[in-house]
Amino acid sequence: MRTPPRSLVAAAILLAFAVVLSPILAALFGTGLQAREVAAAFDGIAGPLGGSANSALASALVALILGVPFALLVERSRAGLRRVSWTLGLLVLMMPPYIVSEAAVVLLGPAGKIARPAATLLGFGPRSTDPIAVARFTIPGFVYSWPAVGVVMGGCLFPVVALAVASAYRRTDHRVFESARLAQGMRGVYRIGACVLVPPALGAALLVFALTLTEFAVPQLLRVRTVGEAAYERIQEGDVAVAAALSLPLVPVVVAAGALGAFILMRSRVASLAGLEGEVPKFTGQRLGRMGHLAAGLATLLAITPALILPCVSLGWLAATARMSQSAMRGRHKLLRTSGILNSFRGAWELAHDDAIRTVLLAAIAATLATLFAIALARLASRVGWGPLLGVLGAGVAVPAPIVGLGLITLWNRGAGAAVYQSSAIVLLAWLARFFPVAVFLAQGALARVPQELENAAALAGRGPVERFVAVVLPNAAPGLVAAWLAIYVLSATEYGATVLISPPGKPLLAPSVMNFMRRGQDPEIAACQILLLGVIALPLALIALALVLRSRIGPVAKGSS
Amino acid sequence: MSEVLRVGSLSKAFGDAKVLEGVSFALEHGERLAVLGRSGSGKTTLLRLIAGLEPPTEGDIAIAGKPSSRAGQVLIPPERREVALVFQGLALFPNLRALDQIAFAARGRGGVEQARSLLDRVGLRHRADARLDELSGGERQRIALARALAQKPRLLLMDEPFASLDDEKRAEMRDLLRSLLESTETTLILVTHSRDDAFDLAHRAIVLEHGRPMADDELETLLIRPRHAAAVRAFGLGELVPGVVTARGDAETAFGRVRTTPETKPGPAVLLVRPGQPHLVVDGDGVEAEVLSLELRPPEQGEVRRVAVVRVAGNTLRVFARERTLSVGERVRVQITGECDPVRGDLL
Amino acid sequence: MARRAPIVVGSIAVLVLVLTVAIFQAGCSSSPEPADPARPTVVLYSVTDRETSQELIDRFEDETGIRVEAKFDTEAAKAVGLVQAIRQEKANPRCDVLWGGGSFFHAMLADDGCLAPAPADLIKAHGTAPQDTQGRWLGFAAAYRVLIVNTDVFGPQTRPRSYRDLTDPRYKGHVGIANPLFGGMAAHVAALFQVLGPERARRWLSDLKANDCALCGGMADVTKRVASGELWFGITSTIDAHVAVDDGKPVAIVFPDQEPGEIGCMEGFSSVALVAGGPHPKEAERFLRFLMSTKTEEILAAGPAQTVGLLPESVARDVRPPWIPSQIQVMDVDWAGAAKIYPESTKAIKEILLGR
Repeated sequence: MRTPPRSLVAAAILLAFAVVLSPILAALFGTGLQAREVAAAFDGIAGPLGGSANSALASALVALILGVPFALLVERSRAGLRRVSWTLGLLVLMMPPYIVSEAAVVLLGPAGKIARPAATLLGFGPRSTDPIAVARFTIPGFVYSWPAVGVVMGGCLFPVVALAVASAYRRTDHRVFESARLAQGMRGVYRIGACVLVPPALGAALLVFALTLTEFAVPQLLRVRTVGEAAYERIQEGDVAVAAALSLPLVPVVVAAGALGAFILMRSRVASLAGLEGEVPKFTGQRLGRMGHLAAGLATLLAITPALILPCVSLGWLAATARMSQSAMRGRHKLLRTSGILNSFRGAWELAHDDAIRTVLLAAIAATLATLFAIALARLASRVGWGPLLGVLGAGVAVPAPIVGLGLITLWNRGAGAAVYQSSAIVLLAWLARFFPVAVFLAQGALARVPQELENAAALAGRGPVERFVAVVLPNAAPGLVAAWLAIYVLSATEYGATVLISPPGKPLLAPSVMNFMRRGQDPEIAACQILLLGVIALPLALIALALVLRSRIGPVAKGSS
Repeated sequence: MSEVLRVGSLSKAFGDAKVLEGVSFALEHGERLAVLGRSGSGKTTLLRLIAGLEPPTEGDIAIAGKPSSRAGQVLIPPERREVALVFQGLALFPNLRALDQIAFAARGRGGVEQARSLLDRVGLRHRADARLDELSGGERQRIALARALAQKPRLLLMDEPFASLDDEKRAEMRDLLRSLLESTETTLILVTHSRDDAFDLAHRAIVLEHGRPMADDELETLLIRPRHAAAVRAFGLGELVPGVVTARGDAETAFGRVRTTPETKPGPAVLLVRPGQPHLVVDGDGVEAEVLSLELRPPEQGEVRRVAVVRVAGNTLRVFARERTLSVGERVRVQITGECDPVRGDLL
Repeated sequence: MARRAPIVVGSIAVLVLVLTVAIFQAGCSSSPEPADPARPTVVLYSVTDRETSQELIDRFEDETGIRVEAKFDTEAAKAVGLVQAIRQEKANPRCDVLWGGGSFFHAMLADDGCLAPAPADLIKAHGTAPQDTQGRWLGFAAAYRVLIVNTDVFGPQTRPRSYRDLTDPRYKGHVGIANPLFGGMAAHVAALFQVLGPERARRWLSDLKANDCALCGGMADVTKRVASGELWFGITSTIDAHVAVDDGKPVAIVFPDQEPGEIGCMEGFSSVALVAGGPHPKEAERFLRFLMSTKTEEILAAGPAQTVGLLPESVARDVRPPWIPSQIQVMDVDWAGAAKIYPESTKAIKEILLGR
């Protein structure tokens, strides 16, 4: 079949590089970079680099510990439990990590609502019953440490590992394990199981590592110094160029980790399919017994605890303990100072509903643009064998959000670019710069999963390249592409660092508004704002679920009536 | 000879669906059994029960005299039964190279040396380092076979092992397998759709239909005197024609009167008409039939054989048209000569 | 079937066109009426919390008919947010008025040439209220740096009373301040360097370090941590402190260093500045005048911010929330000097407090 012209592919790749890397290049070179200052700035970078790296390693480990048992047990359980578990796993992916870390501090911090009573129950509390002594009792602040960052990020990203492992498990003909058992007993099963499942688990863990390396909000909240914070200090001093330069050490690490992870995932996919002969039989292994289902339920519970259960408990606690002010110092607090979560939610909605609607619209546009462009780019690049080149786009993930924002200001706040700068298009450019690499990675994976034979069959049936792509490739790649769309939507809707800088005046977006309220608000307002943000995030998922339900109900009726 | 396997009244149900029922047989050391039947007749399930991968619902299995499974229970786990199973689809290990596939099973049983020897015996010494995706279908078959034999099994089970090979490769694999089995005196149960596989490799055959054993005998006996329609279909021994047996010892069929064996009881019967028994006649005897289609068969004694598929009153029959050139839709006269054996079972 | 490809391609083209239009018109206007191109506009970058500024914005729009297009940042992200955006936009300013962010960062922006002086009569009317020497920023609506104290931990007689108590070993590991590299706390430390002198200030930082002082994500974060009991007390602003009190949390506010001879508590204030070269200078001036009024300070005193009036008329009328005492001993800070000493104080923070 014909390949597209290389010049077209090169142009598309260059455009992608321009979108993703132009902000950091503008921040580096558009604001007067002095080599001497950069050299001085790298003094003492070891500490922040260590903070970033330790947090990232911890998160990869936690994601493995939570994700692998989850995948292996849930995949073998009954359909009902499987669906519930995966739905909860998907909800975890949608939870903003900074909400999770807030919950961690509220519940497990030195005066945590769970940690302190638990420590007291276990006998670590004060011996005296003096109320002041009791009030003074706090537990050590283990929540303010890089392992805690690892637990938070690993808890938020474990579904990445779980999906990779589950996908490999599903693709594997389970008679392979039976063969191994017949030949070498259970030891043989574990050996072969490791060959099949360890590579995708490791590949996904590397992706988790890369994503955590560049996280800023969570380490800041949990007081772990990272490269992001070092960059922020430089920005405060007005050294945008130096701040941009400080993030450069992360770039090759992120690109290498992301590329290696993607490579391992692709290889494990090829290897697991290679053992099959002819059609894929439905040998999916034996279902779990009662104890196995119990274990699957426990694994699910454990996996979703950091990033779903803790935030829900924290939100619930905030909502439930709201009290009317009794103080004589109460002022005329107009906007949000009402008691109760419902009133707070009403207040938050009144103030921020425009922001929410605007955010939903823009995030949906960003997700659509990113997914369409990623599909086109992945398709073109794979047809000419340049797929691996796209891994370099991962560098965009390493750039701190404020650098993206400030770089875009330098780039677009001039001449003909001013029209873009003053419109919502600048917000889209910021989101694309930050998250387009994620869309490319997911789209590449989704398209690679469609067997070449399907396209060949369509070609033999007389279909042209566009028709083949639309009629055969897209439908088969749809689940992965929908996942890409959802990922970009969630990331865009919750993006704060760049958005606060470049969103046009008069058109605020939800994440900065929510952060604004959360910083100053009382507990009901904080809870209300978080719920509002989560509602916006969950909206497209709810719509997709509704569409699927309606399709399954309407579909058979439509067939019967024709 | 020692008994390697005894299966007694074996049944297996998945929920309400009974996939195997009342299977009983025994195998001596070195014996080779073919299990035939249509898709969904329970052949694969039988192998999985013998291998201990699933417990039977009813019945029992004993391997080398030791009770290995009984109703609802696997008494001896698969890895301790000394049974090797070549799965349909082969189930080769995704990440291992060719030699390593065999060495995996040979561990503790001769190790890498044994693996190399087996690789050599299947003619793939030069492909020792090949990855799975670099091997052809036939090569993977050989690797799977070598891996199974590397276990030095007491009993070798094979589930349609040559399903994806062409006829020539299939014949080669049968030759290879036969020589390996004879040199190692391995007992074999072979599940297959292919009659040639059974003819080449098996001493005995069981034919399953809807999970029940319809025929179980020495292969030669089954071929000479099949007693069930399932065996006729499985071995392609001829065509089945319904008729009514009279007190005179003949039967009235749509193709006219035919002779039956003397012991055939009067009443409705299904009769086996072997190839060669139907003839085209010019006039007089015989029954008028319509030619539905024309087929060719491999030549015998230098002459291509033409077969006409004819129909009378909804019943079809294949007739050799030795010297005549026929056309579709032509009316001919057909007569069945020789004795037709009655068989149990239904026309499908 | 053969016609499907052109239909799909055509649909994608239409979708792209619709998206392009939607991008440039995305979202609803933040005001209830549709944007009228003929309606005058002023662009405001507000580092003051939205909850505080929104009421005033709405009033200004009602009174003047001028539409305010506002961009908001959080108090915690002051220095890396909109202040930096104004710096980056210097070549082509988009903002007319910067409100909030602290005089400290206004001073830095003024030195960078990003700010324009206020009208002369306004500068004169500003009197002794805080302002830049050239009138490039004007200060109003004071808030005080106080100690927020957990009342479950401290009885009324045992509460800490001074910034020095943060270094008391009895409270080791249970005190907190906002990260002094960012935002208002950076200005506070610079002010201490200016008032106490570098040596005493450095000693204070060392003692803080030895006392395991927690560095929180902002004044609001300090308040939350004290309210939860994780910290026993810390430095925060009255703007954040009263929120916790009103919420019924077990906290009390202590105005520190009020004894004779002590340095007093730091008086922070909100700053407003005109951005040099802003696109709507006339409207910007009107907004500045609106903010620099006693009426505005009365609204702020009664609203969520609970600030104290600093304009001459407000001082005369004692515009303040009822719970803030009228006679507060305030730290005498030379803000120009503090801005000059800022690099030294930042270096000391990094070396001593952060060990870099």
